[in-house]
Amino acid sequence: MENSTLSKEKSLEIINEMIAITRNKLIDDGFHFLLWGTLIVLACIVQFIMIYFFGKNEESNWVWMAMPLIGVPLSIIYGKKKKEIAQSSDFFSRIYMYLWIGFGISLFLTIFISILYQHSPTSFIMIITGFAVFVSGNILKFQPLKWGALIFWLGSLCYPMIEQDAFQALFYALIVSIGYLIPGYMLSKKYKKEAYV
Amino acid sequence: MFKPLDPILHSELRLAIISLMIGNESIEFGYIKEKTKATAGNISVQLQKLKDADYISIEKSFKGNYPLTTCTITEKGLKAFEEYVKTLETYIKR
Repeated sequence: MENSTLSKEKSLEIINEMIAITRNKLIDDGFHFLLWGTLIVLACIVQFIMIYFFGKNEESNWVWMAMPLIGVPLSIIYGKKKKEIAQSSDFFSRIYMYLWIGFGISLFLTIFISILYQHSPTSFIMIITGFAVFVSGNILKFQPLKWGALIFWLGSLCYPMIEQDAFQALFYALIVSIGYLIPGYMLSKKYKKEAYV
Repeated sequence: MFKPLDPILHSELRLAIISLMIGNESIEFGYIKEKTKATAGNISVQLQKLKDADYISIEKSFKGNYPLTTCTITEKGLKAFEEYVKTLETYIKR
């Protein structure tokens, strides 16, 4: 780009072109969706096996303690790496980051209070996950995430109707796969495609 | 009689830099270079002119072992850009 004097039309063209670069920038590469989606689905399957085949209902809850031990460090390392690479920071990226930080805090409190009152946190987790996924889908303008949010909200209503613990775990795996993991995979594909355009 | 266009913004590269900053809270030197495809020397000169006019602020730091220049648009720069677009509109609507 040269530093020459401009015609009025060219001025508008430059403004439009530069603003379009920013507007079309996809701010999430789907990594966290893939990471957490996979971990949650795996945890659900392990829990199902432990309950259904071995009858270890109480012990099976330990998978939920083990899962963040893998997920949190990986998320932090990846987040730091991304921050180092990012060359620009915009308003939406900041909102997006605080949305998921807020979600993490709410999730922790939901689980903590549910344990305190001795009831299952899963329906409530689905409600707040639906909320975070819904806002994300609208920030990213990504339709599969908006549908994903609907799946979580519907799942939160259906979940209490399932009586056996083992099948509750399977049902949760299904909801996370459809509402979170698959949209995350689609997001990751879209990000890669746009990166090479 | 038409209002003259702000000479600080009415230059291809400076206008591109400011437009990039409109959608971002802060941008790095490398980002400007990548998006505008201008030379580092030219970008440096134009950034300095924008800074002298108080349209942007420039922060110099380090990213690992490398020097890092981060630019942010100021309130004055934002107003100047809005004014520039408004003036441009009056020309186009003519």
